[in-house]
Amino acid sequence: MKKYFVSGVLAVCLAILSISCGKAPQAEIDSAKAAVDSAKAVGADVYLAETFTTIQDSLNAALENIEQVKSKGMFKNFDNAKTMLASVKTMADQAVVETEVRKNQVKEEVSLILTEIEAISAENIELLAKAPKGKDGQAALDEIKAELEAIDASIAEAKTLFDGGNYMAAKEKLSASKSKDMSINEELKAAISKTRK
Amino acid sequence: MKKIFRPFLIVFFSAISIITLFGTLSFLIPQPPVEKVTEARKTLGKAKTVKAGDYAIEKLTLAQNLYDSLMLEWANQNRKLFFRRDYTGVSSLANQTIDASNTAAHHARDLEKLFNTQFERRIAELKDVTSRFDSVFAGFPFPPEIKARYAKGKILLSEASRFYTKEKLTLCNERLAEAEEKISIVAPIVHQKLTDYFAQQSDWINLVNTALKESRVSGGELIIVEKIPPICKVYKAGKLTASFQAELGVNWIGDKHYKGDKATPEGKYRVVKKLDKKHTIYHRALLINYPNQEDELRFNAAIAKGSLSEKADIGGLIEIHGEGGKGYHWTDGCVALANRDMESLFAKVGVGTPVIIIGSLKDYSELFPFLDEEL
Repeated sequence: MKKYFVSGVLAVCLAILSISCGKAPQAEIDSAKAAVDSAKAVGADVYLAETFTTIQDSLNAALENIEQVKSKGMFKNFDNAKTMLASVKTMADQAVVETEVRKNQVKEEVSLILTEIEAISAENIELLAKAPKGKDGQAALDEIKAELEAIDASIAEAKTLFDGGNYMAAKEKLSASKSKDMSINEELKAAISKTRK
Repeated sequence: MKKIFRPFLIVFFSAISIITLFGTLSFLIPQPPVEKVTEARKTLGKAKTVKAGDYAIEKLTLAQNLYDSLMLEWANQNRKLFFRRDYTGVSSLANQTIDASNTAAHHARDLEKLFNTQFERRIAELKDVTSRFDSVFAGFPFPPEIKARYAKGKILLSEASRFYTKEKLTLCNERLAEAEEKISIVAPIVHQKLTDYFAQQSDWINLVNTALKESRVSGGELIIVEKIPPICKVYKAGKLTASFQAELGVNWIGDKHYKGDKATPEGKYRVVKKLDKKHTIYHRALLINYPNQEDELRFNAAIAKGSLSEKADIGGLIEIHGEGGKGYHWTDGCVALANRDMESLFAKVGVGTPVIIIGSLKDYSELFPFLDEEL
């Protein structure tokens, strides 16, 4: 009888231990974290800021879930955590792809703005030569010339940012310069058309 | 039969006992503050959405560090045997994270509101300054590096305005600060240059008054050229008979020092020759006796002091001539009038007519009121 009792206790203890000692999904944790790091490395935090914040929050929620399960005395089940981590990895991998797409979009936008601004600047130089030099006219033209030189300097700075991979900053700088260039273009055209009348 | 079932009954009741024991122990294991931790994470996330990363980066970083610490502490406690675990540290860190996140969020909201108001005002003020500067100082002979800096400042102002419209207030703040630095440099430089220049105004006034008195006494003609604003006046017997818009040397502020400096000389001169159309390319011209004795003394002193090269030439052939009316200062040092004005002047004056060239008879604060405001 004693033999049966001890065997029974051992059998039940083994059963309980095997059910309650589930291991944390370390491989899945490492994989999810690596995917999030990859997304950050390609600039997802800049080009897909809101999405990246959501991914980070989801990772934190998964890690919290894991600790919550670990806190249990028995019957640890990490299936839910594994699902959450798999979802984080999928989102992060998708963010990598979308970031590259967005980066290429911004690059194209920058190239387009650059082409436009160079065309406007070239036209402005021609218009400057034709602009009237009446009273106060030359003074205004000198001012415009200085502003055009400043725009050229700004374009050069934007190109440096672009070459360094900082496409968003390059875009902002070029957009501001283009806006200024266009207003000068309109001003010169208006001045020239007035004298023709 | 009883003998066969007895072992199974023993195992069954043993299992029940063990399970009951473990179940009881489970209730005794300390429970982590799961809801509190979740609340901490969500509060931290909310702080990020209200741009605490832009406006309250230090406070947000503190909150993030507290959250990271609580997760570490939780993991540490979970590594311990269940009866040795203590989650009070986790709970405390969770509370601290919530407080820090809320503080970061409130700070960010307050700053964003403040910046919105501030930036709108600063942009408007800077636009007003540049507008007034452009209208008054267009054509002012700034040093090239100052001109470039001012123009760059206006581009930066344009960028700041753009960022403000797009609600990117941190970038707006950066550009605005740079723009203010580049644009504000101009006012003190201009103010200093003009203040130094106007320090001699009492000499100008004396020169003019003396010349007017002589004109009154002799009944003769007198030409007075003021640089600010640029005007050429003709007097007879001390009374004004005509005034004409004038154009001066490119580097018009200050006296002439040497040939090629493109400055219009200042002082007392006289007409030494009248040149009609056949003898000048500038329609008509009145040659004056620059350099006078004072000019030569000053030039020689500058050579002796070394502030001018020994190879420098004092220059000459300074005239009041036609072909003006361009609307800006363009000569190499002469005073230019529009042709019809030059016709009128040419007819009124003769060789020997005194020519006084000065800075201005007007008060500095009357000419440049907003420079005082700006400073």
